[in-house]
Amino acid sequence: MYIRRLVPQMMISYLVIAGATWVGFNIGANDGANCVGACIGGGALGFRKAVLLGAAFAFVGGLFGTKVTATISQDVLLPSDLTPMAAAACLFAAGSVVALATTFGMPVSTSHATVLAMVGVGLGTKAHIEMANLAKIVSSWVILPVAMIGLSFLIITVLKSLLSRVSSLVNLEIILKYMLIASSMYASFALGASHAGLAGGMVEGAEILGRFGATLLGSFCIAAGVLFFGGRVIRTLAEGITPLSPVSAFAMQLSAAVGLNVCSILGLPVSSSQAIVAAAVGVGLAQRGTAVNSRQIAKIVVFWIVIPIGTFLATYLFFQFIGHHG
Amino acid sequence: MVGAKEKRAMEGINTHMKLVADCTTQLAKVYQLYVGGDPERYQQEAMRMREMEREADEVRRQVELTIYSGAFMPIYREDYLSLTELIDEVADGCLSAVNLLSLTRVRIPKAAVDRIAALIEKTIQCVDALRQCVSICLKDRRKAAEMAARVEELEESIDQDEFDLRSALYRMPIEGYDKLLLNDVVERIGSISDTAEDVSDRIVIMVSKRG
Repeated sequence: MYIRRLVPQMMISYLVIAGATWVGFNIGANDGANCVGACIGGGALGFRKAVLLGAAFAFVGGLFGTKVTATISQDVLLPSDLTPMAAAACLFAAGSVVALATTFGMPVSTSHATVLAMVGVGLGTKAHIEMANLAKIVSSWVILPVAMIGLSFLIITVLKSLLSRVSSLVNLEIILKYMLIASSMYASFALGASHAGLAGGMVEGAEILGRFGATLLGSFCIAAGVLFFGGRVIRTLAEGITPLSPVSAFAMQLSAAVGLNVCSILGLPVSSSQAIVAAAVGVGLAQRGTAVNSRQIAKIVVFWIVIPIGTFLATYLFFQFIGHHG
Repeated sequence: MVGAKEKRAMEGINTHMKLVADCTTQLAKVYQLYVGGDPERYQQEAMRMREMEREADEVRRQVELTIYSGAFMPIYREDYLSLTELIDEVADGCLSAVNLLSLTRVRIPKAAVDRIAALIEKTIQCVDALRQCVSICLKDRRKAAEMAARVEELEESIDQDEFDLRSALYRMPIEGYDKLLLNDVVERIGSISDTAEDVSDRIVIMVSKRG
């Protein structure tokens, strides 16, 4: 109560907006790299052009992300429990922990971090958590990577068969180049569609902006994050997981984009980094004799587990603290 | 236009290859003038050979500039650059043989004249097979193995002829120093087809890399 008296309501609303902006930037910086990293690694586009186009498509995709916005704003915690204070705490916890991972160049899941932060708020404030919806979301986190491994395996197998019919070396390389660019842009679009709601959903849940306004804010911040902060993670993804041929890169990106797009249509907040890493594993498995960098994957998996637990603990402990001292 | 730079680079590679093949044909002409005892025409044609090699070099540089200006994805650029470099070495090999004749003025024994001419003739066929390999494989990569095999077959035959000729040269009743020089001439002619085979191998690798 003391803290709530200390911090005026208006300031909390600004904190929510700032937090949403912070999360959006981090999504762009961390997850945006998943979309353009393979394109740059495969050599289809230069760094700057890829990042610029990626940002543009992520912004446009974000405008189609209202279903995920709805899930975040009302399907995990009740709207009455998602107060501005709760929203601000979730956003700053998720944003800060993901930012820390970004400084290590590790692709981590903002979706997992955000949802677990909300669970932490729910448990910390003894609010009602929509367990059925939460179960649906968590099961999508398990189903998605498995589906991505299968889909990317299938795509690269079919693709190689189709491309073997292209007789001209030059035409083959031109086709590969533009396929890679197209898949990067689709992946960026799908990222925007699936992630704009992560930031925007809290803003809507806290009743600061309406659904479209909140989604627009999320889209803009993601695009800005891709444009200004994505360099280190892009380089990690471009070089670190499996040796990238244009065919592999295309299969990875297309699979991830399809997965994210489907989940955004279903309103499920899922991880783009999980999607692209799982797709990379599927591609590696399809290419007999190609080594998958299992050390790199193990490192990424550790961050996937540690980061959401970190955000859960951050918000849970925060609300436990203000519950005792506020 | 989509693929304009790539198509320009490919045309450049084909033009470069044709000029290099012309250098090999010129080698035969220069050799005939050398053994025919027409020093003035020999000098003219040897000079012409140097101009042709320079022209091939210039085309290669243009191809490289086109590639560096953004043709092909970076992952594949090195393949094309190595290819043009190797093709250029075929022309260098032809010029190297002519330069040796010009510098040393070595007398070629009658018994060796026709055999060296035959070796050059087979080298021309080998480089022509390479020219076809380059032209066809860049358009239809499925033919790479078959075309490269033809070049390899000719190269192996030239290797055998070269070995036989060098053995014969050492048994001929000529000065030891002339034997060494003639051996060097034959070796340089033989190395042209060796380089041609390297080019065809490079094409097969390029095609395999792209799956």
